[in-house]
Amino acid sequence: MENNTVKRDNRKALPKFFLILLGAAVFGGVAGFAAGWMGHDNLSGAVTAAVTGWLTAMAPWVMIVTSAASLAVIFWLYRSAKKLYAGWDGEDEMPMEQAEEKLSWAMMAATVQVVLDMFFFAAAVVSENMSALAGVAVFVLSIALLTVSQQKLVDQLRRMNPEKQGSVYDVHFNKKWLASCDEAEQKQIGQAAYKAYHTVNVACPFLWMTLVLLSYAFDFGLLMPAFTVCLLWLLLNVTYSLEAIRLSRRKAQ
Amino acid sequence: MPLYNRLKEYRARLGVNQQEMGALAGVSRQTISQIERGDYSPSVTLALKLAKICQVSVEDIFSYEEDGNNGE
Repeated sequence: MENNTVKRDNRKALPKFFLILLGAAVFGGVAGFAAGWMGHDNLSGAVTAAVTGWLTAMAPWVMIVTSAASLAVIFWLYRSAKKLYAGWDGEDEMPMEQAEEKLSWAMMAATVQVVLDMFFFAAAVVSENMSALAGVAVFVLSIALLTVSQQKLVDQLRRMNPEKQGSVYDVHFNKKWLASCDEAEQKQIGQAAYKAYHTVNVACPFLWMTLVLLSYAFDFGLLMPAFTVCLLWLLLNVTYSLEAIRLSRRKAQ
Repeated sequence: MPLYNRLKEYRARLGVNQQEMGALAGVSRQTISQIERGDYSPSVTLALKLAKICQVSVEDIFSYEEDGNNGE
């Protein structure tokens, strides 16, 4: 009975799976041909040079603009969350929920800006001139301000939730924070982490394919980008599987 | 959600707010809020803890009802 269900489910899903494979093969063929054709004229070289030149020259400025914008947004969200908490009567749930959501958005803005800074830092230091030096200076300043703002946000969250523990400056912050979360919050973190796992698991093959196609058009050397994507993909899946095995073992004891 | 609860009512009887109730039960204000709204079904341990705080039985606070279509 169970065997029949397994076979029926497989038979039902197989045509769709083959159709997706066929679609991917056709798309890959067409896109690969187009990318290869593009790589044979001088346009791709000119585009690569223009993009690289623009990125290296603009990286410090882009870092300044994006950091200033992010810090302004973070500060505004932090202030309004603080104000909502100050006016909380201890019973009405709405102001606290709004304040917590504002702090979550602010935390996300800070994290996104750190990633952007990392990228533009790399773009700036490629140039080996004053632009690189300016890039390093802006990067250090931006990261320092973002770290302070993250600590301010965590402090505010801790004021609103006295049971929470951890300091951003502590290397074991994530571990301590998670340990101070209760069962409902840990379940939420698990659901959010699974969503992130699934998203990255879908994004990695797409990114790999995009890199392969772009390498035909723009001669950037496929090995290192492909290695980086595959390493992250591998790390994600191996970590997930090992942790799942470890957790199931502990449960069985 | 087939799990219904009267936590808000019992909390009001104790005269504590969600944050204070959370502190008594060792959970966050948000978790108390989610339980009261029916958005989160607590573990057996937490349900027992909440019942103990309110000095009633778990069944006084939580009740389980089958969905109309699934009920036998």
